[in-house]
Amino acid sequence: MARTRRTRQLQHTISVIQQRWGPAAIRTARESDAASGPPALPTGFRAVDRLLGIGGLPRGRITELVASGTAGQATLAAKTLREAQRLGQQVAWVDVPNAVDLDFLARCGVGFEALTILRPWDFAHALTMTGDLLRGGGIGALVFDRIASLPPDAVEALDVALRDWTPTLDRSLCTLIFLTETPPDGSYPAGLTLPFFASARLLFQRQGWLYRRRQVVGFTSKVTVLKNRFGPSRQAALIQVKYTNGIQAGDE
Amino acid sequence: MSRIACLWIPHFVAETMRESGEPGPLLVVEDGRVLDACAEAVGQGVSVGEPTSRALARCPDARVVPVDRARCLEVWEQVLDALALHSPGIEEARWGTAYLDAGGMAGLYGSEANWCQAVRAEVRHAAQMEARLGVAGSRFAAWVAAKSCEPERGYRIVEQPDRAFLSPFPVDELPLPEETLRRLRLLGIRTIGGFARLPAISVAEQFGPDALEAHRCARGADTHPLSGQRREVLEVQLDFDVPETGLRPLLDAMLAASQGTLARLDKSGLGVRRITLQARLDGGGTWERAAWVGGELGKAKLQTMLASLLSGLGGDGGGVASVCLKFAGLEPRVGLQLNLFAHAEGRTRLEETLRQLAQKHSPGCVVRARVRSPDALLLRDRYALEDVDP
Repeated sequence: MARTRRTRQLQHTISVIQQRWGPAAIRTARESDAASGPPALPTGFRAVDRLLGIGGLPRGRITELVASGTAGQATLAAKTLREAQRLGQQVAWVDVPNAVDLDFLARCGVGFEALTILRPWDFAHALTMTGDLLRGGGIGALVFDRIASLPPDAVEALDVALRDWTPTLDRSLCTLIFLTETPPDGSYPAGLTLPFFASARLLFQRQGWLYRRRQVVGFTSKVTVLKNRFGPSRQAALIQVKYTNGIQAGDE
Repeated sequence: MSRIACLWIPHFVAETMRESGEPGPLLVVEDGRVLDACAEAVGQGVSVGEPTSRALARCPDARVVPVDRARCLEVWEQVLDALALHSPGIEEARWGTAYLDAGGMAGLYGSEANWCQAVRAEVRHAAQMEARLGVAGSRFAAWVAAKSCEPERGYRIVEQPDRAFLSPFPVDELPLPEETLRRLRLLGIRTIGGFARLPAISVAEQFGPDALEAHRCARGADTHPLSGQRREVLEVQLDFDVPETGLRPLLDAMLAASQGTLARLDKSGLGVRRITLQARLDGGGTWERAAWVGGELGKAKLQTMLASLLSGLGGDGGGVASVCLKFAGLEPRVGLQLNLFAHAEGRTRLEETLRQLAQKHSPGCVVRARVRSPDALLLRDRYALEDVDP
């Protein structure tokens, strides 16, 4: 009897909260669609899609690709943009170092007609522009290129921006991909809260170069899932990135 | 320049449910809540959507009737049929409200005022109700014009730009959530003009991207086209050399004659709202029955409905000399009509955002890539970056 009363009381409380804050504000686990996971955006690498468990990078969430040097993170980001364009979405590339390689993007299959490039003056400006673009809507996938060692004020600004963007991303279903560059020793930038806000984090480690007739034609990279809110983590897969005949990707 | 008209019949459901000549306030209820109320009840404080008990506390003399959806649909269909005589495109928003394509009507009727009077007279003749019309360049402005027109005149034609017309109206007219309206009032923004003067990027920052739609409406830049279609009626006519007396042969003959029409409807992905069966009897009399379909119409469903309609034909004496089956209210079947403008809307929204970004930051910060010469040896000659024009 007491249990029934408590259940009824809980249902009343839930309905009051839903009336005030909207039906998505509070739900029972049975009603929630969290179990099925968010929609996913394929990466163009089947092995990575399988690793993530939902078939790609989660849409409406933040994904961080961590690497040191040439390891395939930019290739995966570019190919994800290509997949988004195949689904009819507009994509954007935030070019913080003002060094976007258009030839690389074109070889990855990114179409320029559905690509917007933001060229900010500095890191803080990049955060402002990205926030404006996300709030304006209409973008299906966005790559933030890139985060390296940051001064403390930039770390703080990024923290504030990530708190601000998270609900906007959830509404717009935009896939936000951060490319993080770590030093060769693998140390992660101090104080960065990006790992906390990211729903998926992938670590790229180059395993070796691919040769043909003593010419480097690509490389093999190990992709490890550092964090995954929608599937198993700590799993790894090998991918191949080849330079010949454009950039190709093969799973192993 | 496109011209859109909004037709609004105040208290449509309540007036439909009111028996002719019946005085006093009236509440139309559904599931314990007020679906619609007549002008007199609204004047006594009743609001749509509130519980019936609360409405009766405000207006104790009101007569409460449950909604008869079939009857409302029937009257609304008559109104839409009447509108089809005066406009090539009709998009119904809800019972009592429809948007009409008013482009070029001034040339056909002499002036837009003449056209408005003709439409109002047609609605009055079809449903015995007084409609209000607003004509403007966008649907939101037309809606506001229809709501704000003088009841005696019955129509309002917006000659000035939509933004200037909308400017003095209260911000509550905008399709915004109550919380957003509350915040706007706190910020001292009380008119649509004040809201329209805000930069779009600020509106998106403060109230979210969903408020941009209302912001476009406030600026008179609601470019969403009418999705209405010409109301078409398909007819199947059967003439009998020898008057048909048996219901079963009559049914079989009508089903066979309707095969082509059903196939056409299926191929076009269209549903039917209503079928009407008219029969000319051998004795000279006529007989007519109608039935509501409200969606997809297959052979089995048509057979059942025709059998039901024809069952009322017996006992009138004599045979049937000819029958005419009309399929009215053709519309895309639910779930089959895709929004053809979804992609364009997303693109337009992004273009607007990029322009705002270029204005706010600088044109050089927002760029697009272009392939200049794909076979050039030097990479710098192969591609080019172009600023987005603010």
